[in-house]
Amino acid sequence: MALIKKILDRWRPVTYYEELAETGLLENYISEHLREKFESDDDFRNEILYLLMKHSKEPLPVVEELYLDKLCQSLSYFLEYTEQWRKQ
Amino acid sequence: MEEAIVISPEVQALFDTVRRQAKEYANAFLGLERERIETERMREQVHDLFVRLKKEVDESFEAANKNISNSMLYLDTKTDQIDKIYSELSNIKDLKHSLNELQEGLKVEENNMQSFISDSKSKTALEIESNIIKLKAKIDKEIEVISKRTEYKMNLNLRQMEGRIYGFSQTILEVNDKIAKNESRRNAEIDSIKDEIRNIQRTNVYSAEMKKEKISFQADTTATGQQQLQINYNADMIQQVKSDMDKIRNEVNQFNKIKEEINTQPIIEDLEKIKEEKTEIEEHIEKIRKSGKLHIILIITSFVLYFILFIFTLINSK
Repeated sequence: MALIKKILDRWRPVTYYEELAETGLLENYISEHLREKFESDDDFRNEILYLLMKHSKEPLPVVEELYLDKLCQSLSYFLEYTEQWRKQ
Repeated sequence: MEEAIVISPEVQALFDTVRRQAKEYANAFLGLERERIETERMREQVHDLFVRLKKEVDESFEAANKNISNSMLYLDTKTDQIDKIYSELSNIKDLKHSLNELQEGLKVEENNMQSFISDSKSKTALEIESNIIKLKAKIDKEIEVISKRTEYKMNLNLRQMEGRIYGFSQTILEVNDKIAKNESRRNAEIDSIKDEIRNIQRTNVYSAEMKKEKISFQADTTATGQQQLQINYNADMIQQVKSDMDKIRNEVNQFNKIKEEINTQPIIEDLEKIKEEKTEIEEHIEKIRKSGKLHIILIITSFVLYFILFIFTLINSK
């Protein structure tokens, strides 16, 4: 499946968002035109973040913020998960 | 994971640090998981052991409960037996106490009976003596009265006899006078007849002789008649005297009989009564002695039973 998906990814046409991401304008475009959708629609946000991570040539604070937020959530979950053992 | 350009190197370093620590945590968690699995296995073993032990303990508890229930049952039965033995022991103690009391009571009763017997003996002796004295006085009095009465009767009879004898002597005298008169008259008649005979002899010897014989026969008949009369009279008199003497003898015999009855019979009856009372008292004393022996035997047997029960209780307690 992964191989098929990789082949399809190589041979499928480039999307508008991918072109914007390669040019480095996707973040500005989303923040100006699709901010509400980016904040409310999780699938859309994941797709955009994936395109940004894949095609961007410089660090993006949004992605960093997102990853740090995920890390904080994971660490908080980890702390919460291991709280019982730490107390013991 | 490929290097992302969108993330700054500081954040990547942070992520690397977090990743390394996460790996270390993962390794630690793997160790922990192994330990957990080992612990789980040990827990299962312990659980199995616990189950087995629980089963064994339950079985042991069940067996112990069974043994305890059997022991309790045995203990209850033994307790009942001991209670019964103790109750019997208390009964024996009560019996012993009552036997002691009975023994003491019997001793007291024996003493009282002995004193009563001695008192009754002295009293009966005194009563016998007083009764004998009273009977003697009564008998003497009765004898005196009866002797006076018989004396009076005898005097009366003697007086009557004297009167009768005097009457008989008077009649005898009268009869003698009559006989003398008759004899003189007969003599006179005989003389007159002799005179006639002499006269007749002069006339006829034969006839005279015949007359003489006749006259002599008449004279003989008169003499024999007189004698017969006198004999009959004397016989009557003797008969009357005999009958009077018999009467007096009978009265004397009756008096003697009455005297003997008065003298002996009540005294003999009283003596027999006293003898019967004495034998009854002796039999009563013998019964009391026999019952005292029986009570002593009962006391000894109760002591022996008490000793056997004491040994039996000692053996059960051991």
